[in-house]
Amino acid sequence: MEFLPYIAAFLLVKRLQKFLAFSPLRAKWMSQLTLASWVVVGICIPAVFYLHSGWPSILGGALLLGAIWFADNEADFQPFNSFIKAHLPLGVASILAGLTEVVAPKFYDKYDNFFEFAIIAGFVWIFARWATSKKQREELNLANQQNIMLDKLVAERTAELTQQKNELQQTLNLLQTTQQQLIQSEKLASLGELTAGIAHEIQNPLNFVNNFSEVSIELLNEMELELAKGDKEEAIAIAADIKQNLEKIIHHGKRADGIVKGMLQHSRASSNTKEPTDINKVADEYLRLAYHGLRAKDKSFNAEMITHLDEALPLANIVPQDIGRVLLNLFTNAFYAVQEKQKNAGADYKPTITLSTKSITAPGAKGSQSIEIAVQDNGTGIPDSVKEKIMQPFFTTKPTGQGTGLGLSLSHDIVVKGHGGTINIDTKEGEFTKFTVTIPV
Amino acid sequence: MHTKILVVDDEADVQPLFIQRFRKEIKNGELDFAFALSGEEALGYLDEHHSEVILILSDINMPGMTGIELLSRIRRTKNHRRW
Repeated sequence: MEFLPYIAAFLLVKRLQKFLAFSPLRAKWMSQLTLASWVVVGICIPAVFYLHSGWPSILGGALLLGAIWFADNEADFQPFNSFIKAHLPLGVASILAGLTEVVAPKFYDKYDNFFEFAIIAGFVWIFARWATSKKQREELNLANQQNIMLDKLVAERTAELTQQKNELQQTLNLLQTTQQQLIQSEKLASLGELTAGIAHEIQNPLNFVNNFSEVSIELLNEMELELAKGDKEEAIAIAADIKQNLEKIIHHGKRADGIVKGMLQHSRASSNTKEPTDINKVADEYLRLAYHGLRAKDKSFNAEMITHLDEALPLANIVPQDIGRVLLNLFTNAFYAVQEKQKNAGADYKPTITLSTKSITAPGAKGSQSIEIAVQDNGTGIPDSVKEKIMQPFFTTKPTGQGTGLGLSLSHDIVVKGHGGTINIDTKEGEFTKFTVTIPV
Repeated sequence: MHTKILVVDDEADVQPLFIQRFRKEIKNGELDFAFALSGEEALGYLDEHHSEVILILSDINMPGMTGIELLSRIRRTKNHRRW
């Protein structure tokens, strides 16, 4: 029976090896455990063959207890603790049996059956414990494998999500770039609408510059004649006229200059710098541009333009070309609406566009001041079904190719996001549409 | 001979232009100018001063009533009358 503790120790080492086979600790312990199993065999054979009367049992028991003590102190073996502890009775029984055989051989001989029974019982106990713990281990194994699978799955999903996130980021960047390009092309499109109006608006001041210059030359000739005649009074009167003409020339030169500058500003990528601006001036300028732009395309078109501009309007801190684009868009829409209505309406129909501005002070002692710009037309109006959608990008009721569907959407962005204002619509189908833009000063 | 001319243009600055260009004629009493800033105003002037104006110079491209419209309105309403 001396060999039983050795077999137990050998099997213990082998089983530990088996337990660790699927765990990450495998690399750390595998070679050490293999070495340990060979050490057990190496001690067992000489001990059983060359030692006598109890010493092999003592040595085997001590080996087993040493192994238990060692494993008990290693955190890595804690999960198998109950199984390892199951070897304790066999180790103790072996040592007791061996010691008794050495110290009291006669007593041992008399009761050797009892001792052998104790050793076998200890050995069997290990297997009994092993059988019960096997189930636990299987569950543990399963849990370990599931953990590994889950880890793998999580890693895969994380990679997938990261990839999707990167793709979305790229798409977002692309969309932002496209949006910028769309804004730019919308600006250019509205510039196209403006060109004809601008040509007309520049032609007028240029005519004045030319005509006043010519008249001034004639007046100078006359003045020379008067001076030659000695009519000093008449000469002075002519000089006053010439002076007035030169002022007119300057005035109209500046007017043309302003229009060209405005056009450049309109098409330039927005600098987004807000500056104190006279909204009346901007609104009036764009109303004229929009009107003449449309007139250039359709000579038969005519509309009455009524302006109610609040003279006491404070300067508003706005990006002039952005708000100009908003107003241009509203005017173009208004002219389009009355033009559409005129196609079907009778001769009595008088297309009318009304532009009004007014300053609003919110109630309260420190009421915030804002400016209200209203553009009203007596055109086709907007049906309720369409009203909800008109601020959406790319929504247009115009035939393909005539509208980008971006005008109001961009206007909304400019007013609401860019200036913290609001755009309100009041409309009745077939009767009128009124857009009211409110901008805080 | 006293000739009255009505000039219709929405640009106010054409007025000094005409007055200066025809400075001598106006001074000598050969020509007399009247001005209107819109078709509507021109019709009103013609109503008040019928049989005075013998020539109307009008801009075509004006807000509200155009020059063409003004012409047809004058033809329709005033052609029974000599003015």
